[in-house]
Amino acid sequence: MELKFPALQLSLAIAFWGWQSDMLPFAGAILLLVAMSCHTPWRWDMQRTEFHRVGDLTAILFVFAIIYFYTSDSDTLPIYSVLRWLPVLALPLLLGQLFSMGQLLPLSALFYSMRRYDITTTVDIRLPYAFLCILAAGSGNAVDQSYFIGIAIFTFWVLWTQRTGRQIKTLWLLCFILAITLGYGMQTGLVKIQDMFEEWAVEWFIDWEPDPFKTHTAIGDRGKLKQSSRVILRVTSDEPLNRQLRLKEAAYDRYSGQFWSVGNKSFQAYSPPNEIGSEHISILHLLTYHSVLLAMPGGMHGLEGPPAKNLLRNTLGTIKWLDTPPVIRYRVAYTTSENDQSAPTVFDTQLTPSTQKILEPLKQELGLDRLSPEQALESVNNFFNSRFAYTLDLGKNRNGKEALKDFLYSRHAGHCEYFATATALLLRAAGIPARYIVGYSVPSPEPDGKTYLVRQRHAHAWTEAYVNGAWRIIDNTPSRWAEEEAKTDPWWQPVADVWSSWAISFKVWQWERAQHQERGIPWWAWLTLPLAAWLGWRLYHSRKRVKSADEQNLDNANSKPCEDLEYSRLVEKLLAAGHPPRNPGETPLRWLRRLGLNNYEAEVLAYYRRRYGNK
Amino acid sequence: MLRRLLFRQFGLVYRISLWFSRHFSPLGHFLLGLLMVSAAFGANTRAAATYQLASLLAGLFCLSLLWSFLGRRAKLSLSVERLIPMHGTAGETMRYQITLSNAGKRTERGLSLLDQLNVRFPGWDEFASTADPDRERRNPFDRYVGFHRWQNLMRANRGASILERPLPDLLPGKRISLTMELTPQRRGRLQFAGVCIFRPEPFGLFRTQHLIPLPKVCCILPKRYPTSQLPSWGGRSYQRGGVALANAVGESEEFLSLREFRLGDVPRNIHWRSSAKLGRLVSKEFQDEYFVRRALVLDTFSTHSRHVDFEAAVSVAASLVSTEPQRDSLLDLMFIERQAHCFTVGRGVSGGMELLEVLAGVMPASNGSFESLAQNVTHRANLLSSVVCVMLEWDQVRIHLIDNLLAYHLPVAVLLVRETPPDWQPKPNLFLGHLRPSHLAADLQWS
Repeated sequence: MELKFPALQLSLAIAFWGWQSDMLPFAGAILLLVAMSCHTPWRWDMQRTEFHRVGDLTAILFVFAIIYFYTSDSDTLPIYSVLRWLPVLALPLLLGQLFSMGQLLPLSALFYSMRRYDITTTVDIRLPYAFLCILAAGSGNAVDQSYFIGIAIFTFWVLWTQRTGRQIKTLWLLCFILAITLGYGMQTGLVKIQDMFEEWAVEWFIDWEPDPFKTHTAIGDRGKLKQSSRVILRVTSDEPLNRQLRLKEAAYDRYSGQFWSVGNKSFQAYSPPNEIGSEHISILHLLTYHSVLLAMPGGMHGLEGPPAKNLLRNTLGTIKWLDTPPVIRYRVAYTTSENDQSAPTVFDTQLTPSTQKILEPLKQELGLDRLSPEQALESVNNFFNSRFAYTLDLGKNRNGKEALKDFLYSRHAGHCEYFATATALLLRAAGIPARYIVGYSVPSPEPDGKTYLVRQRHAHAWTEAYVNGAWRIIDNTPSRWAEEEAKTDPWWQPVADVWSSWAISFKVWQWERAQHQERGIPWWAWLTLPLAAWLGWRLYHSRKRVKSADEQNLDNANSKPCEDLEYSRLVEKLLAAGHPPRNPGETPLRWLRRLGLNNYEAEVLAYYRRRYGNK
Repeated sequence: MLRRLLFRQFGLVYRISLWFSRHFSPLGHFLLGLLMVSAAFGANTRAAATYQLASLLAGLFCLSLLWSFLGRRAKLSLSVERLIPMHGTAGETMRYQITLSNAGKRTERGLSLLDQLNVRFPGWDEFASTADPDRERRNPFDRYVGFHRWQNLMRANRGASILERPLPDLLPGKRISLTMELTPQRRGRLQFAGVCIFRPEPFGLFRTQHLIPLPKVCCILPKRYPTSQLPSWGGRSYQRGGVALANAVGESEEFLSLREFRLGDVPRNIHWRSSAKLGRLVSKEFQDEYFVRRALVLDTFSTHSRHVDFEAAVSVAASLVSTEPQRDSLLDLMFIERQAHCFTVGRGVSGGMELLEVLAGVMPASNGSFESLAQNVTHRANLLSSVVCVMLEWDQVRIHLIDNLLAYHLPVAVLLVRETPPDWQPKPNLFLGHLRPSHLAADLQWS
């Protein structure tokens, strides 16, 4: 069934897209080309091959647009940018048909798989293109009702022209108004449903929403991270690291039940020092959220990278960076031999009665009351080294409050959180201020000797004890923990690492490009554009024809009959009306005269003129 | 296992696709696709306004569906007749008439018509043993899944495809006639089921289907080509026989004229009525007649993979039947399907059309071996004047049959239908012809 399509519909759809999507200059240019197609004699003799080239050109433009928008990292989601540019991207298809010699677009130009078969199905691209413009117009104004009004008018026009006349006009109009009302109600309802869903989702997700600032932690939190080998940080050191480096992310001084938290939660504005340390590292961090706690080595002297206005620090030395880009990179100067000398807080020595009760037998056994701080540290260290083992396999879940007791008196095995918690609490029982620290342990370097990939499974917990006026790192977790965890790596980890490395590089590149939008189209795009230009040029020169009358006669003298859109429609119309088809060898004019349809002679004569020239 | 599972879904996919093509107009198809795309883009109502387009289209479709549902019970006051020829030919366009008359009181506008053919769904065995003719052009996924192969089988089972035709406005009491066209894709029975009339709802997106049952069967004859005369085929090697007993060839006598009674004439040959008129004895004179009886042996021992060769062999047999005039001769078509068959046409029996109808329905032999056909032919050899064998293979069993026939001093023609040329030795009284299925029309012109 042939669809009726008034020429003005296409122009108005293009103009509507230009208005709604703020693309008026492009819409104007397209309109100019559409108008030219009606008034210029220039035509291409488009056969299937040429239409296929047009389809290829469109595909290249699509791929280019998708890559470009996905790499540009703008505020608009790439998919909506593609939606907005759809009419421009599909323009070669429209022009291919409009500037052809009356041919329609073969479907094989759109579907590559159809080119292998002799499928001759064609489609008039004008109506789909007009609806494409209407669709693309939706990428713009999502609040105003002008879009709805526009699409309602356009749909009315299209459906009115396709009307079969079975129903009386009044009934048809009533039906349409009813459908519009229904559609309006639906779109209003959709907005409300989304609002309700978002409210519900916020409430539902809030219970397990990740805590980006790690205001509290619990035994088992780091254990969950250890199940993944995803790369979190890429640390680059100026010189190879000659000792184990721990990157401290957050410190905690209050322990209650199973949870560690911070006594003084307030963060203050922080201006990082800019001094020179003995060692330097650069850290690259891929982020999920727009704020982060910085992973810092102990003895930090200087910090480059984060803007001072976005930095906050709490009393325990945890540094928070607000409003971060998706990728952050900072450089830290530090001296490993120097320790933090800030005074302990009142929370650093507190033990809850229930914890005291759990620790009391052990305290008596180790005689911690009678030992000096140095001796107490050594005693606790010996205690864990001699009697405890490292494991990530904790068997069945224990009651949170029983986890510590179970670790100390029954299981004698656990991972870093258990060791760090037990160490901190035992030292407090011995009267030594102690804190619980979480962060990452930097692993062995990559083959280049200066890059260190810190994975999620390198998440670590340790203790800081205040001894002799400074905070000293106490890590009683058995040293073989890293090797134990490395064994859990799957066999495809090297491949995943390469992929991860590419992903990091791509993210960094994307972000850096976004910082320099003024650079315009990237260099690789200039390689793609000549390809598109070459295809366009080839298309232009392969079948170009200027339809002067003489040349037309010359061309048509030996050419096979070509399809003419207007004439084809006339033929289809007559056949649909039940008239017998043209006999072999019968000219169209004689056919009309045989049928007695003289009123169509003018159209056939016009077809003769188009095909054979004025003579 | 997975392929069997996928195979079971093909029918479901086909039915769903058929439902969509029957119930949605082309514009409805397009707008339904647009509805889905705009809904996908508008999933986040804050990011893009395309959800408004999706809502508007959904409103239109809801109303269309409702209208169509309510309109299902409205009676269509159209009567339809189909005038179809008894025979068609595979691969040749066939025209027939459908006449519609509006018996109602209102003008019917915007209707369209689709003449439906019955289709049999292929079974797993048929599907698994069928080769895809376009296999080389398929990608590995399509080759594995085989949906295109299944579609080809469906098309072959249906036999032809008929396009939907929009109907002109039908005034009350008016009668119109449509010339329909179809091109049969295979020989055999073409089963017409009924005529579907589609009535659109106001927006022209959805339509109500009215099925008018009009069952009818049309026989599609095998494709035929002009053939050259066979050397042994046209030989004037007579055999005694009588026209009256042409169906059972043997010695018999044919009435020639009346003559005076001579001594020695058999009294039962006296024509008593003429004798009474003339007053003397008049006797009937008879003459023995001799005429040609030829055999056309069709090799039906083929596999699914040689479907094309088998169809070509049937076409060759049909071409020979059509080319040979049977005015003064008999032609025996001999083949084996489930059992041995021998159909005779010619003077006084029946015409070549009946034989073509038989060939339209012939299928590859489902059991037995070529020896049974060879025995059957040899058994009748002494009644035959010449033999033409349309073979699919050239092996010892077939060579043995030909040698036996030559031993009867019968002129024998062997037409071997396959792509690869055979390695055969010429013999006296034996015509050998190699016919390639891909060049059948050219290869049948051997002189």
